[in-house]
Amino acid sequence: MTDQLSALNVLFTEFYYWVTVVLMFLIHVGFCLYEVGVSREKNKLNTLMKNSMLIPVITFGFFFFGWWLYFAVQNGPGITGGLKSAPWAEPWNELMGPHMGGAPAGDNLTSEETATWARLNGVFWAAFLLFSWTAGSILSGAVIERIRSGAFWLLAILVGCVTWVIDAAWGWSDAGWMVQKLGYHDAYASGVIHGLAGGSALAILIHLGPRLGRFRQDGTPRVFPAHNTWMIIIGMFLIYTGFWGFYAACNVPILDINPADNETFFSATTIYLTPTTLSGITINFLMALTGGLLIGYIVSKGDPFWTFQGGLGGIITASAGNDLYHPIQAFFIAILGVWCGYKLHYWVERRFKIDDAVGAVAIHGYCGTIGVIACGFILWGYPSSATAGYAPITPWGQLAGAIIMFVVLGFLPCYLAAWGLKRAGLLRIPAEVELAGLDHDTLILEHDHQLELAEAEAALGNQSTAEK
Amino acid sequence: MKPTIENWQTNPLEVGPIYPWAGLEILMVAAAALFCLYFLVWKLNSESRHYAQAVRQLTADSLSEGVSNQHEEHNDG
Repeated sequence: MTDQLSALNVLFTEFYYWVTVVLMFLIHVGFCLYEVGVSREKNKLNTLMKNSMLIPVITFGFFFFGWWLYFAVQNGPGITGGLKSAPWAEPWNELMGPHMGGAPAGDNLTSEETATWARLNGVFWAAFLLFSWTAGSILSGAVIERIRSGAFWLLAILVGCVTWVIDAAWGWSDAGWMVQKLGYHDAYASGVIHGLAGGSALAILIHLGPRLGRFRQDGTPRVFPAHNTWMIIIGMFLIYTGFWGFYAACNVPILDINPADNETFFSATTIYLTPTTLSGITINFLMALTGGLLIGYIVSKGDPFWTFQGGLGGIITASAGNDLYHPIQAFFIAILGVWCGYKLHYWVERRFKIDDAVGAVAIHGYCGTIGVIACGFILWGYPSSATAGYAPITPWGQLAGAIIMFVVLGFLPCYLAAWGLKRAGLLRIPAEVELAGLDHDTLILEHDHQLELAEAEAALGNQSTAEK
Repeated sequence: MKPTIENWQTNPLEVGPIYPWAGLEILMVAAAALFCLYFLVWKLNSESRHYAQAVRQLTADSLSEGVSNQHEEHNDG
């Protein structure tokens, strides 16, 4: 921070991530609108509060242990090394608060660490935290109208602060063991967020069961009409916008990508420190959105819900390799993912009676997983990292990575946790309350207040007439 | 308690944390962690109580509704 150019570099990077965090906040706004729009009138307040309150519960979990976990378990531990030291990410470390980057007050940090992390720790922490909220929100939509909020928040902490953080440490960091050993590549988190959260949602849905009345006696599903289509559509547009910010947040904005030579060359890089450009990923983002919207419209015969979901699914499918794909490749990969995701959604619904209220498992889980596997074929042979000696990208490395994301870290932990909550009688709302509506007591209270107000106004009117 | 920063006219390269109560971070984290744990336990308990009460209320309502419907049917008959 002592010469203008290096100060500009640090302060620009700090500002860059800060902007991405603000943009990504829109993802959560979008999810709230979307979920409340899909829910029925009698459940909308409960749906809103269940999703909104995951902000504080995931935030405190991420502050206390999630951020540290990301750095600590990059080696497994036990696969490529032991537990890593990351003092700057410990909740009680001085670098978690405002810090000028000068000499450390404690003895567990070096001067280099304080100089590096003082202006980046908070914005990096926040960017990862927003990804954690997204992981929690993906679960939230699938389970609306019958899960208890307390149980949901515990599951959201498990996914948002533990399992997704472990998979990011393993497969979404420049030193993760999956990157080193499997050549795992997932630049914009097809698998590490969406595949994992989709697998988690599926596991919870199995224990939670469908909403009452969702399936007829012959096993065919009933449609629960959304209470506000406009909220869904505006929510989806906001999710797209926030996702754009997410793409920027996944990059390092300025880095010398030629450190081995004496000459320097600055570029944006992915989280694996491999070069890419904001320009390139912007085209790919929009072409994937385009492919997803088109196939969503075709396959659903113009249904607005699935068309907009298709746009999101298209971006999610292409995200694993959108740092390197040609835009036309991104376009066709998006089409493949959304077509498969849509078909799988209805097949699983009919075959296993899984009631995924918003299609989250399809759009996030199936599309994300398909995207990770497709990336292995399209980018076959590419280096997975800027570090020499790491495994290259291969279809089998990506397939193994997709299984780790969807099944090992996504499905299994949530299956066990939801089973435990169900056994404890904490998972599902009682049938009587579900039928009456989750907001029934609030609506009765509102009705009483309105009645009281009307009586008071009538009394005041009578008094005024009498005085005249 | 002594403020962490008493004078900004110092060499910035020597300035580390600038928030108050530097050195008491573990206590602050422990207090916040306890509060958050309390919130989760409170939520699980209060939600169970709330739903138990709601079920009693709704069952009683539907019973009384059923009884009054039967009365009406009986009177109509």
